[in-house]
Amino acid sequence: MDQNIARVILAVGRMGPGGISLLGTSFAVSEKSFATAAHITGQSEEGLVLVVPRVQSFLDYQDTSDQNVNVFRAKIEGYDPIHDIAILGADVRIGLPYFIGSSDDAPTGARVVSVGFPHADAGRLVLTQQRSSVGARVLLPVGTVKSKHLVLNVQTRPGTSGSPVFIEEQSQIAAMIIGCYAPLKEGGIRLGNIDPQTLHQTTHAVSAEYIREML
Amino acid sequence: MTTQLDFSKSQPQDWLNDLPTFQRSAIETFLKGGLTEEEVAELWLSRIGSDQNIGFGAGTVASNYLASVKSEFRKFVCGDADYESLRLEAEKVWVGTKYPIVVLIAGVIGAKLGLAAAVISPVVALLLAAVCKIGKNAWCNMPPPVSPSITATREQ
Repeated sequence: MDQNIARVILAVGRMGPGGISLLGTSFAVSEKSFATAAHITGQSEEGLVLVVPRVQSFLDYQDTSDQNVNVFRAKIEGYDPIHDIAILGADVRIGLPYFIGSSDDAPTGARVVSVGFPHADAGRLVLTQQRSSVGARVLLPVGTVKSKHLVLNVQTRPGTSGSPVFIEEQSQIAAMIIGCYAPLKEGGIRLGNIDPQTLHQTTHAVSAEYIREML
Repeated sequence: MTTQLDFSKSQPQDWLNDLPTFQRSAIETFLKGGLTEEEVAELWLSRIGSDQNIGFGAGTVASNYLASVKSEFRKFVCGDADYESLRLEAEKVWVGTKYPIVVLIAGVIGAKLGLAAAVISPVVALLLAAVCKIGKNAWCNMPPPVSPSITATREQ
């Protein structure tokens, strides 16, 4: 993987009275726009920001004690709640070191690499690679619309939504992480702000082709 | 004097035709599946992704703003004085392609409610299609939505 990719995968946050709350991950999809999960941004763009990368390369050490960040203002330019995708526009100019593909290019068993900011809910801003493989290809429904997703054999944490999923050794994004499988049921519990239903290795990633359709 | 918007010369589909393809194709699938325009609008604002998934963002809750959007939209369509300047502006571009009108209305209502215009544009288009289908007078005489509210849905 191109180590300079750290320059184009940015954390998403929201400015509030107490500072910036980190929400998740985004990645450049054109010269001036970034893709992320719609459930990260919600329907409001008020206070929405992209955090300027603090490292130039994955080879750099990331200082976890440094809480200072620079940000760009971001606007919601595209919103697709059916596939859980938002496109954010920012006043930047970026070159893409990859292209946007599709889950069709990642067969079951394919090795993949996702890149994002796990534990962003705790304020941790560490760009992290996670290697895994495609465990299954599934169609997830919203009403009568079914969408292609990959099931990744990896456990993800709050903050990784919006992470691009690369096919290993290729400059191609096949999907974007949106969360994990959980059976729908009423109620439930949280322990230490963790939903026990999410503690497993069945991560869902939506096909990148739906991002391409929004550009 | 209140500006009257004329829906008689357009078809419901006219309001949806020029939406971006990714929005139009999903909306058409829902409509063909038997949902009404207002039911699709509610789904668009209240759901994010599949029920089989828990999102891994940090802290956002999906909310249903349909009642609030519909309340403002009703004021615009049915002659509330607060929206006279928007009606005048819309009237200037009323004939012809409908998408610029949708974007204009979404921008004003979105700014009032703190919602991104890109989020509510398809909702505004669906509501305009619903008015066109039923007729403006009939739509405006339907009971208004219960007081504007924000309904939290499943935590993401």
